Amino acid sequence: MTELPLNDTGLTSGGFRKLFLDEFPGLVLFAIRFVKDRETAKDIVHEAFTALWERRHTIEAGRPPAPWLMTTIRNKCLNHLRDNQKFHPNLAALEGFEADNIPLADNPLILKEIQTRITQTKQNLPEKCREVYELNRTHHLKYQQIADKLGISVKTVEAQMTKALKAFRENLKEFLGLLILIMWK
Amino acid sequence: MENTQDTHISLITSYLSGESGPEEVGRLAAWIDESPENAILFKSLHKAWLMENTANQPIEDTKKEWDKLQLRVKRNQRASFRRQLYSIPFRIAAILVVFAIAAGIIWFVSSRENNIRLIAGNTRQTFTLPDGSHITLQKGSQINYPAAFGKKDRKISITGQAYLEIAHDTARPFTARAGNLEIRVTGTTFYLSSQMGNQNPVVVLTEGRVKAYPAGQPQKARNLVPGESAWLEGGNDKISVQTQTDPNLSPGTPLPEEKIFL
Repeated sequence: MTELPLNDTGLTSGGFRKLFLDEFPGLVLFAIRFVKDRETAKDIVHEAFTALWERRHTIEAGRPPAPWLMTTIRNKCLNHLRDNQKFHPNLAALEGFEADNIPLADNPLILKEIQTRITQTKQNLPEKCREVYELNRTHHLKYQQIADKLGISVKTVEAQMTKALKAFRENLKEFLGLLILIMWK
Repeated sequence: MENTQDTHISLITSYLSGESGPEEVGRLAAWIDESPENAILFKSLHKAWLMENTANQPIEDTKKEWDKLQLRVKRNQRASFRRQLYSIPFRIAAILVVFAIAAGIIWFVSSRENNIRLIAGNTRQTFTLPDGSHITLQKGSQINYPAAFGKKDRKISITGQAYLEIAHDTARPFTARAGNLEIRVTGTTFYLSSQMGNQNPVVVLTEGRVKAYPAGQPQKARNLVPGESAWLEGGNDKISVQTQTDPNLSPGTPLPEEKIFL
């Protein structure tokens, strides 16, 4: 993540814009890890940037804003989950909510391999399954919207999404193994 | 055995896709606690999801998001100034906003139908309903309500854009109708906008709780939570709900000067 140190009088509007354009997509993905729903994630990231802007003169000069944003976003996400009765401590522990942002893999070659596997898996999904999957993951439609759009039932959408996730799990098996061992000693 | 596992994989997939409500999340958490195998199954799907999700860089227009942010920051600055101008009375519990098309400044009672009509003409105008609710009508908007309004229930119909603060009264439910879309207030505070005229009525909820349903068919009601919009589909017979992203319709937004098109 790029570090953008603040100048003496706080974040300039030019610097703020650059920070936003650089960091927004990644921060949305970060928020999605907690709240799952993309629109909620975007709202929370917007709130965090708004708060940062309002505080721009009081944040110490030279202190990088990115960690502040991540902490703020994580807190807002957890609050959102609690307010909506979607927070469960064991689930949170399994998903690593309290841990710092752990990258999925350190080795860039492994990351590349993961990327390739994912693309292949997507291409090899059965037609209907891939269609549903893309409507959900790329176009961000909810299950009900997909059902309405394709004229199928929500249960069918669920089944196709399940098929897709199972396919990813199957094709990424090697990369999942290590984590499971660590969790369950 | 295979069948129950598939059921749970389906539950996990829905959860990770953001489709699960609190009840399902609770069920998932309870199932995971039942055995380490369940936890491992969850973890494997979760990790696969993290990978495929992160790899799915979306076709996001970050510049548009920047514009949204600017609007939001400006609005925040205006809102703190406006708060001094609008003081909401204590009794007023809910706000309803409805959008559509226009008319003139006239107040009259139709003796045949016993209907009361309030119209705002060239400028925005505020009226008070018999129950104490306040309505601000955008220019060219009107509402109709029967003379018996407030006796057993409170029903109004709206054409245009209106900003309503509904007095809290659970004994007399408040219903608003715009075209074929009906909205019932179920929460104590809500902000709602709907659009009419040439287009299908749409309701956007930014605060509180409402039910939306095709006129006269409350059994088809869908509950809305903030951030969702609802409209009629399938020939006015079915309600569809979607998350709303228009920054002008975020919680706490007062009625804008210009009309908003959804």
